[in-house]
Amino acid sequence: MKKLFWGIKKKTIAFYLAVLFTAFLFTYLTTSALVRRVIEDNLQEKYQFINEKSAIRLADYYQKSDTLMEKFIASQTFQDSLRREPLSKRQVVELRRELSYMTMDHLERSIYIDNKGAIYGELPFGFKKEEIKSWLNNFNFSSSYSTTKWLWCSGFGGTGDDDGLYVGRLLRHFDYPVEPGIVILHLNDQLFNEVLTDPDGDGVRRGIVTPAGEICYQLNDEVEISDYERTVCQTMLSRGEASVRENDELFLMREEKESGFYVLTVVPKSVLNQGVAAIRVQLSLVFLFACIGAYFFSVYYSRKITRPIQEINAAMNQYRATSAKNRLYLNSGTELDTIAQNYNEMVDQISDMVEKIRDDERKMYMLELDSLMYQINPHFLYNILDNIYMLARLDKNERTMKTIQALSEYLRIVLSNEREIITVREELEHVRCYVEMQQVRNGSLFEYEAECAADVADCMMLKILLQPLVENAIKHGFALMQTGGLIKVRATKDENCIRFRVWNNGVPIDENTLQLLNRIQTEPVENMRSIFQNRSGGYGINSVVKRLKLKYGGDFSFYYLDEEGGVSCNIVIPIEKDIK
Amino acid sequence: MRKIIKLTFSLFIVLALLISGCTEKHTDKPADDSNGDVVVIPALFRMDGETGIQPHKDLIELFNKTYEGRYRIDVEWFVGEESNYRERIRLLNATDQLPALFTDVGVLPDFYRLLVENDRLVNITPYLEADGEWAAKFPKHVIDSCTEEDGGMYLIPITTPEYLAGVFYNEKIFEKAGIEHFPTTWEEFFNACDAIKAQGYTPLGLHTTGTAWTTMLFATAWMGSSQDGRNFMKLQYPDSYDAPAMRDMLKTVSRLFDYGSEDSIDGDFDDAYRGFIDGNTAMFPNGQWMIAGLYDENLVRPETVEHIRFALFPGNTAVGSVQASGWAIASQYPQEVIEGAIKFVKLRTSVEQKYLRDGMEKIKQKPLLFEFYTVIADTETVIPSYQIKWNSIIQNEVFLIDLPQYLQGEISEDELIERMDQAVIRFNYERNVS
Repeated sequence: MKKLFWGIKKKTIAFYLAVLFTAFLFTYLTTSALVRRVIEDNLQEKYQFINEKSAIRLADYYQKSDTLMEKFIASQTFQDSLRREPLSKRQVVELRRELSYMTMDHLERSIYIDNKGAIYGELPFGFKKEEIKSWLNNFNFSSSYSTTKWLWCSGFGGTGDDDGLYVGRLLRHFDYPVEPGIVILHLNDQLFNEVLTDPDGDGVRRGIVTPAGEICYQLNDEVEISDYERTVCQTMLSRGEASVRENDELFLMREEKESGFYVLTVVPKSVLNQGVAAIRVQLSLVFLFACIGAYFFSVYYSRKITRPIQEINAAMNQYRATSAKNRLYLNSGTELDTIAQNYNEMVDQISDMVEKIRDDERKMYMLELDSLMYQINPHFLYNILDNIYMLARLDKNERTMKTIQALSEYLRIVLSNEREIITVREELEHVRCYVEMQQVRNGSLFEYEAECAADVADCMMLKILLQPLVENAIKHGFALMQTGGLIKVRATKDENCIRFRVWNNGVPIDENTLQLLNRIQTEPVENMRSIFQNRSGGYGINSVVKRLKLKYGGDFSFYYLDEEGGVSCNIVIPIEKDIK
Repeated sequence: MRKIIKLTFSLFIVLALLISGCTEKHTDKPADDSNGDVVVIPALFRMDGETGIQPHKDLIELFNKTYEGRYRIDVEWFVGEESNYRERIRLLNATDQLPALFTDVGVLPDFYRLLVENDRLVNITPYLEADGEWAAKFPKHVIDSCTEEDGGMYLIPITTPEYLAGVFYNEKIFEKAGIEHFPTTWEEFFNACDAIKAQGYTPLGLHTTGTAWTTMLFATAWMGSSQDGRNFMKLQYPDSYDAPAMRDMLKTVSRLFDYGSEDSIDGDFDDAYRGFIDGNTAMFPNGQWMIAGLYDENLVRPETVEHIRFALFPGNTAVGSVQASGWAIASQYPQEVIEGAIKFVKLRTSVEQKYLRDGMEKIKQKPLLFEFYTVIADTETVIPSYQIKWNSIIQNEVFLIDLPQYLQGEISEDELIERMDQAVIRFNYERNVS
């Protein structure tokens, strides 16, 4: 996880995305809720208004039925029907005529029952007269003197075909305290269809609810009002609630006071969520684009910061005390520029310190060398060697003469204090002289071969680099040999470097020693001596490597290889034009 | 730092969830359609369609001002004749739409009975007993007249004599006829009629439709001239109209129509009234309620009113039943409405008393009105109104159909009385009274 978000750029992107996501989540949830509430309030207001309009239409129909009833009451014929004296035939005809002529919209039939039990009007098919009295109890006329009552119930016949809206009213006599008659109107439910006709949203269910809480009519019954929804309606009635949110649906009821019926609207979840879904999609799209924008912005902006930091990081990783490439040049317009500046100053200071340390070590080496050289007076030595050469010549001792020459040549390079840098050719001559002397000493212990590429012969190098290696080869490689040894020294050009290889076919180096030898290059100068504390020959290697470090810094290679058939020591140094 | 970020993030999420989760379950109650704290008292009063006078307007305004913010009388003004108003009240009762306050119930005894027996009216006896000051304003005979057998009082009568009727007469016609004063006896009365008729004027304003109001005023006032007559008029729903006093009255009625206009038989109240205010008819019986209209210059010329006087029927007789002036309060309303209506009628009583006590100077501005109060004070005999005492079949059917036939000689007196008795039988039959 840490690696996944490693880096300023990734962290920046992650941060912005996290902030955006948090803001998105917060906005999504709150906006959804608020929008939902606003939509719900608007829908509630809309459908309450629609309900109110429907209730007004319902009230209008109630009023029409009430007015029609009043006409019956005011009719002299109907008033006469309540008198004890029965109606004459003419009056009966007149009453029936009035009963049929007085009509209103959606009237299926009118029935009048006088206070003597006589029934006038068209009765439904299958109706039984003796059942009418008990049926009339449904109206509960005793609760009022003479009020128009609306009732939804099954009709006279009980067949179900006559289920519908029945309007009833007691017909009182003006003057006499006699039993009232009853007028019944049967209205068809198309009345409710007209009451509820309003543009509604998909899935919105509208209906009419009786005072008892029964949903007696539903407009567009493609999706029927469920039993659960009916239960909610009844609960609303019992609690006197006009609107309720239940199970993500909105229930609205509006009472038409005079009839006691209610207009019901059920707004389903799909309608309530319509607007919210669109808002959510839009919100998600907006945030998606915001995230994309934030991503690119983060990448772009972070680059301004991360690039300089990466440069600083790269510079620090690639730090070499002797390399000018360590310097940083930034122009980010941020504190990083100051860091780069300070870094450069630090690098300069370190470089100065390293240079000073190198100088000190060089000086110390030179002092060591000088002290060694002090022990040898080159003029005196050359004079003695000349004398010895003359004596050998006098004795016609060729071998001695040759040895003296080799020694003289050898010492010439060693004792040349002013010249620390010589050519490759000179270095190989130096090694040849040394080998010659060793061969005099060791007889046929080993053979020597040297090879130098023409394009490196005149290249400059530190003196006395190869001789210690040859010395080690003789000392350690041929320690267990009497004869058959072979030493090969080769100098080649390798791109911009000179590659020296000193190979011998002597005893292989053990693994531990090989590791120590190959560690020398990376060890600090002050620790080099401790690597070969108890081993012989370490001083020579140490000297070679130390001088290489002082000269080339880290820009050289020194390593041993345990090859098949022998051991090689390899040195790679850069070809330099101007050597100090 | 990381902890702070995590905490902040968590807080955001919790807050977002809280906001989104806080959805109230809408549970709205239906809006209250009431008018706030003001109790509205619906009333139906009659106004004169011709004069435009709204008789109780001042009282209503006074009440609404006095009880502003607590009660308000909401009046529907019915424009039409008294009979139409009463028809309206009957219809409203039959359709259970009675206003809280209405009048003229006492004028329709059958209807009044219906209302009382069906508990449609408020019994004000408890309110009288609770307010002795208010009760004291009613003369005892008024209380007695309006109290039912069950001890309840279902009408709120007036406390002043405005319910009494007398005779308005045109003194100019009287002058021309050589009559110096209004007749004090019935003999003088008929002599005056002869004299007036000889001058070419119509002596009496009579009609037979609409319960034959003016005709019966004269007729029943005449009945007050005999003990038999007075006794008969005390009967509530006489069992029979075959009584000497009644026969005598019918003969007088026939005689009266000798002095009516040509169209008086089958004529209506308005025609008779028009004849009087046009100055063609000498005498027109009615009550104080007619006086206001006489001072409407749009309807009655001032020079005509100047000559109109008021007098009692001969024998210092006035006709009227205090119940006729009674107002009623419907019992179907909430108690606060009934309480408000009671306050209104109490205010009415106070205003009546104050009007008589302090308004005499104003009354004097209308000489005829002043004369009414002056003259009515001399009443010696009060004959109850036939409208209270006789059943509606007689008033609405017999007088409408049979009386004109009698007056035109198409039926005899016996037949008329027979029909009146038949009406009694029918009336009792309909009321299921044996």
